[in-house]
Amino acid sequence: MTFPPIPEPDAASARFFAALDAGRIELLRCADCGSMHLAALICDACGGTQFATVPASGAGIVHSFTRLHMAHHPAFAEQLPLTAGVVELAEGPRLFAQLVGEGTLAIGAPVSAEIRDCDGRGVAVFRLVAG
Amino acid sequence: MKAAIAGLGTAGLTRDATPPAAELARQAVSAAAGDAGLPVSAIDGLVVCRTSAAGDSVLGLDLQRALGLRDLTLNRIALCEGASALAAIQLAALAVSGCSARAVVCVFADTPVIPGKRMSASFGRLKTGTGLEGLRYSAGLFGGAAMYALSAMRYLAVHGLGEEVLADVAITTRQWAALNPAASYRKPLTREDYFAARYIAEPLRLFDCAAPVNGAIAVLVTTPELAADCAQPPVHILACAEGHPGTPDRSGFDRQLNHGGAIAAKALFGATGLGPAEIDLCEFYDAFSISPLLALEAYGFHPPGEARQAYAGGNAAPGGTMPINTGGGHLSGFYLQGMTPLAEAIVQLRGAAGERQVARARTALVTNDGGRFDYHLGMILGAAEHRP
Ligand SMILES: [Zn+2]
Repeated sequence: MTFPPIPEPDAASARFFAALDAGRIELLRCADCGSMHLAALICDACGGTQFATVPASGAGIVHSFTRLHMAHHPAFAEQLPLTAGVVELAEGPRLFAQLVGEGTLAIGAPVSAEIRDCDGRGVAVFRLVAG
Repeated sequence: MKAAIAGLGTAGLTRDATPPAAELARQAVSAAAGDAGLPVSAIDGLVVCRTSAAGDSVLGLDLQRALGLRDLTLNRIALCEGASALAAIQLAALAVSGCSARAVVCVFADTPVIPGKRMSASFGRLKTGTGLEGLRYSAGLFGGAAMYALSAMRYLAVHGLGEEVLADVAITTRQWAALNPAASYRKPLTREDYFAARYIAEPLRLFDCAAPVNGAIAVLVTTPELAADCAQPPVHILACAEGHPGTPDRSGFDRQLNHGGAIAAKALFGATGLGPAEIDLCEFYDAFSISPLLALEAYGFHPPGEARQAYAGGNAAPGGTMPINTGGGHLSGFYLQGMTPLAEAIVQLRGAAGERQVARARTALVTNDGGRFDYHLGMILGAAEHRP
């Protein structure tokens, strides 16, 4: 099994990736203004630096997407055309992710998170919710 | 700003094998000095820019030695992703305006084309990345086309538009390329050809993506006084501005569509007293066909979702009222990042564009985009009579 490339955490995303590797999506809620972030050391809404960790519901919508007709990595070679995009979580933050499943693919379409274990690292893919 | 462009030099501009980037850069700098009617030894400043993947071993400060230049008062690498070329020109213009240099050459060189290899070998390189942005590679979003596709898909969906909007950009740009001997693709592009081409990343097809070449472009920036005595008609730098929105990627914001040009436009039009109506031609960064549409809207030429009007009626095409990307841009001309639109603006404002010369070419807007629309520079150039 070839796994997709998984980023190394940086200081801002350390908590996000640690949670993902443990099979969860966690968000950072700014203690000062309540803005939600996936990764932050400073809140871009208010400048706050204190965050509380809160679990994400895993629900979201497709913010944008594309179907890729060429694989640049062996992990995706068998999956062409590969569907990937930007998912907006119900809590607000967005992330790049692969989109899977048979549901309608469109901007605004509902999706739900699945965390895949890739040799100890977690990858969030989002399944199109049927109907 | 008191600065003018007096020299333009190119090297390569080919899909065949070439010498390395540093040698192409040396040739282009030498050609730019020659174009201005100056000896290379008259250069007292260098600003080097390169593709973000390249390091000092590809092209760096030691270009000075390769050119045999001594006692420079400026030698710098300007890095701003795809906007590096205008970042270099801005630095040069500030240096000559502030009298810290008199003749500064800015040069970009790149050799992404390996004959016999697919372009994805150069532009879709395997990467892992760091932090949240690195998730694009986990999702399979390699290469520029995949990322610009996210903007294009959202643009079409938000405004209820079809792919013919992108086709209009590609077809119009090819009409200009047909008139440019230096363009990569000059055969007329029909609507059938456009839609018959394969998707790279939906909704972007083959002809929505730039034509890569190996090459270098160098531009000599000097004072308006010295430019007036050079061999070519001077092209004046009327204003330059940057715009880096840092758009948050969460609900309430739209990082896919929010374009740094909106910030730069305010500064450029404010500094010059000009508005979109006073711009004679536009040379937009068009690595992908979606880019000129978003730039037209960011700069206020059209309201959001209406930029297609610039292309639909033939206004952007040869003979039109607002010519856009008059050398064939990146799409059909050649992809040398931010230097491509700048070089074409210089040729047009000199009145030296031959068959593709725009009749009224007194002012030009030039844009550069980097990191999709995160990093942006814009510049307004004026023909010789526009000396500030
Ligand atoms: Zn906050």
